Amino acid sequence: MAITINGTTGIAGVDGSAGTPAIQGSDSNTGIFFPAADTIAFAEGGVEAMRIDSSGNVGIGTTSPANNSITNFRASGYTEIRTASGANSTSIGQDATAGYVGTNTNLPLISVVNGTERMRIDSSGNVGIGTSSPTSPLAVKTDTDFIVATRTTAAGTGARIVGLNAAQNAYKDLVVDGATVQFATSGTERARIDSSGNLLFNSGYGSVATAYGCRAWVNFNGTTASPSTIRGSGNVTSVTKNSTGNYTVNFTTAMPDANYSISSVAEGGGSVGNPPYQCGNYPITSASNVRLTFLTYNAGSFVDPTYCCAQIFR
Amino acid sequence: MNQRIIYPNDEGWLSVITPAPECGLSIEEIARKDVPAGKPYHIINSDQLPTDDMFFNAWEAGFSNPSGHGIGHDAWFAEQAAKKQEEQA
Repeated sequence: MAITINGTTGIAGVDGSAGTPAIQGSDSNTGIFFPAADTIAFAEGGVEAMRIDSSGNVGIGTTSPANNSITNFRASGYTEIRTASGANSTSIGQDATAGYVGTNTNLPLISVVNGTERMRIDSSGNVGIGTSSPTSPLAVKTDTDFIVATRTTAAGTGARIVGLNAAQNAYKDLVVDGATVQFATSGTERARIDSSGNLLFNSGYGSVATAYGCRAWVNFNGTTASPSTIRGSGNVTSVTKNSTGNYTVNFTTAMPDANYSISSVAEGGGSVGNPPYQCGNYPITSASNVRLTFLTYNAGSFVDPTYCCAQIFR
Repeated sequence: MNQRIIYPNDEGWLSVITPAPECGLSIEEIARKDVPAGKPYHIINSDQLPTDDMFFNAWEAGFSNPSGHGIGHDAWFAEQAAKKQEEQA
């Protein structure tokens, strides 16, 4: 076929092939050729290296870039760069609404920094940071083998944050740390631990307000003959019976000082209609324990109640 | 706990300590902590106590061969604070 050169078509008339490109330099098997209608191809050393097909798809290393293109300009406006022509490929794409990075099969997508995996999205959509085997929608493994994960389903419903061991099969401590720690429901703050460690919560106040905790409590039988028992307690190691109607409640952890408040009640049990016993407390002088005394209502003599209850607030 | 701790108090009577079952301390630890410093104590079973406590203030016991001596609250808390510091160091 003759080569036509004129002012309208430029150089035309030869399609060429990969082995003999239509447009060559001094190397006769490297250049540009036209393998089909509306298709441009590039050859190196007699082998096709890249082509632009009739749809505008650009293929590198493939002669059919329509479905496995390295670069694919689609009619919908989606632009995609694929890393391979086979099934297992990764794409970087973009359309009018977003940019995309991802795999085209169920292979995980892994982010690597300086040759080390730092993050992955597995085939289930779980995201792991510092772990290659996330079992929750978000799993973060720290240097100290703690894993913090969010779960949308577990024992119960709703999202949750949990602390797990490195094997993700046992719970570990979970620390929430901040200048203040706030708790909200439906977008409204309901409770807060402030920077001084005070607990504030919204219970009838309409907004969070400081709550004062019961630092210790005990419910015990004051008689030794029954024998005396502690039915329940908190922050109490023991109750000492010093004499009839006279007891010492010993704290597990001492109060911050001796300026706490105590409330106590007692009752003899048994007979309905018995008046309650008078409850007294020696002047509070110790942060480690507190004395309780109980007297009969009328006679004013010391008595051992069957039910003695005391609560300490600070 | 069916065990009790008894020790002679400053009034000359017997004090009986009932341990709190949920406190996390052993009976020996409770005795060291809640028996005043230097006071001898016995750890006994509750059925060793008299069944009628009408005359509680007259109860007596010998302490020539005690189970131990209390160190009191202050020493106990100081001991615990030192342990905690050691653990954190």
